[in-house]
Amino acid sequence: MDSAILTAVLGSAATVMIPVLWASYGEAIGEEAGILNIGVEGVMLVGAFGAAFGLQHTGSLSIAALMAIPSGLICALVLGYLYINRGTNQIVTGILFNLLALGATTALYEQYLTGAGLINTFTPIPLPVLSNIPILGPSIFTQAIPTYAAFLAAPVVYYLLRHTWFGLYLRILGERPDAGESSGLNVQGLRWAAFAIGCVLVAFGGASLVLVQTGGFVADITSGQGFIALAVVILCRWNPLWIVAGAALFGLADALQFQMQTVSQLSSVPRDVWLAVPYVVTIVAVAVARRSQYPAACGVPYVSGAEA
Amino acid sequence: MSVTDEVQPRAALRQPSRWELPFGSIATSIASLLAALVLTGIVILVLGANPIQAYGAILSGALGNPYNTGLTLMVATPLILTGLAAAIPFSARVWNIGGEGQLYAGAIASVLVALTFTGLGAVPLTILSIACGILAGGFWGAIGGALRVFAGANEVIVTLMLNFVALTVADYVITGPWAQNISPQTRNIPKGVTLPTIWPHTAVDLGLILAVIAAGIVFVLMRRTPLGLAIRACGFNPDAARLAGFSLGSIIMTAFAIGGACAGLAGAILVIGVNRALVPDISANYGYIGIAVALIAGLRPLWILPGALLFAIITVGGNNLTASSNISTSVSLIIEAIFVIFLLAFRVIRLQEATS
Repeated sequence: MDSAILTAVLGSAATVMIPVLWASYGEAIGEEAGILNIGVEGVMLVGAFGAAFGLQHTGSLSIAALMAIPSGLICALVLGYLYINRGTNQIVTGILFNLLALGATTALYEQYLTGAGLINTFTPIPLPVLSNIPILGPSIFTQAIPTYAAFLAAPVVYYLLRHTWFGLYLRILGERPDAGESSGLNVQGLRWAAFAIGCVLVAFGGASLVLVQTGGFVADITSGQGFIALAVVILCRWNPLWIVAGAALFGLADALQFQMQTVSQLSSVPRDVWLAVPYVVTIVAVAVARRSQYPAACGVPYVSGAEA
Repeated sequence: MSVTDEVQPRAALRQPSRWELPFGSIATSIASLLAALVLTGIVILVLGANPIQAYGAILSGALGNPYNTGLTLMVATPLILTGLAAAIPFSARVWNIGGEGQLYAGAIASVLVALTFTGLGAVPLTILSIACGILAGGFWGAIGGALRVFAGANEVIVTLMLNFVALTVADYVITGPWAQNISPQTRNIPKGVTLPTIWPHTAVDLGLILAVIAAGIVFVLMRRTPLGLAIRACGFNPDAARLAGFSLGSIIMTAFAIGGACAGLAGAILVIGVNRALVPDISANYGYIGIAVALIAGLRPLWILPGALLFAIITVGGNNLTASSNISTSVSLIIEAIFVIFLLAFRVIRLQEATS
């Protein structure tokens, strides 16, 4: 593989992985707090639509990116009410929310955004000095702002989850909410806070899909990337630093399917093989690693002992 | 430990009494449907159309003439089967989110068999093709069950991922050696391999009968056989079921395999009946909508029939929305999702009762 192809693969992988990366951070925060949000796909979709909508009506990329906040909060409101307050089954609620988000964004897109002329993405900015490194320079160190931000967010989310009282409390809620409540934690309130933050990050993942890659919205634009985020989170065991590596695996597989056609030794391998790799890796990892288990109370609605 | 593990007391599916509707009290169910219609009505208003007119368009689009009614029954067919694919494992309180992938597995197997063994007569080949579709779906489902049982893997993640593996395999079959090279699909299956039309001048074929028979078989299986008892016991109280001597592992495996087989049959019917080939997007989210169908039916096999019909009416009728009200056909998806979400939120559907 010559260096031009390697550069293209790495550059494309670093771009493709970003929506999954943001969504994985958000999903990880929710799961640590005990909320298994299968609706992550729908939240991404809403985030992507919000960004495209904002871009269309303001023409500003930064405002479009900030639209992830209201988009994420709207989703958090709907899902949080169902998951946290009503205690509905999180698996089926999430699946239904995905269908709802698919229907709603498609309908709104067909009504308001089809044929929309404005298509815009963040331009890649070469980092000083680093962009001169051969191969890595023109690929990984020549990216758009949301891409750099996604990588820089990893240590921040890691610190938040592992080295703050907030992160500690969240993990108590994920493992033993009853114990948390006994020691004076507001279980529902903390879950709401974590879930809202998580949904905004997930929505930003959807937004970055539009603002870095496509420049506009199409129906079902996420096409399963939210589910990939679910896989990345469990594959990387809720560790934001590992999540970067997990998302990179998906990015590489996606980049390889295009580039491998140009490499003579590998051109006979159907592109679907590359596409299937991440899913198979996840299945194997979840099956082999007995430690890949959700936090004990993840997915279990909590009813306060005082109310029951 | 899995998602549904026992930090808090295990809560089982609420055991319905014999005369109770599957979705709890009739009043709350109707209220949920009305609430869903009102909420979707607001969405329709936002989209710039008249909700009453739009709902009229859905009804006439689904049932207005024999041809459309036929289409509705055609869409109900896979929904019945994917509904069963969700309902059986859900009854054992394991979560099969893989109906979509199991449907694709069935579709892939049936198209490959139909394209390969062309030397057989038309009727044997049709039967073989359907049988292989059922087996492939069952196998795809059993993978999820086996990984849950033998490796302790989370079945939600595994079945979700298997959906995408099946999709990439389908993409390979469509673009690879079996490609038609005119439009993106496989070559058409031989002419004789077909499901006879059972309602003249409409598209309704034998697939509908097969789906209804499948629902009947699953009903008998769940209500009248030791296996069905075991599956339900596993759902009500796994610990008690284990103490009573049931082997939870084999029950879960079997529930996944039977569910997958139903979805596989749906895939085979879609290939042999309507499409005559494996085409991209052969399933319009049927695997996921099937989960909603299973829920409104309270996981009861026979109630899945009207449940699937209701969702088929909304889906097919929704196709009329663009022509009549100039709004997106996706509004039907919104109605379906909101309806079931209301049923969940009002606790009409109770899959697990949260206690502490």
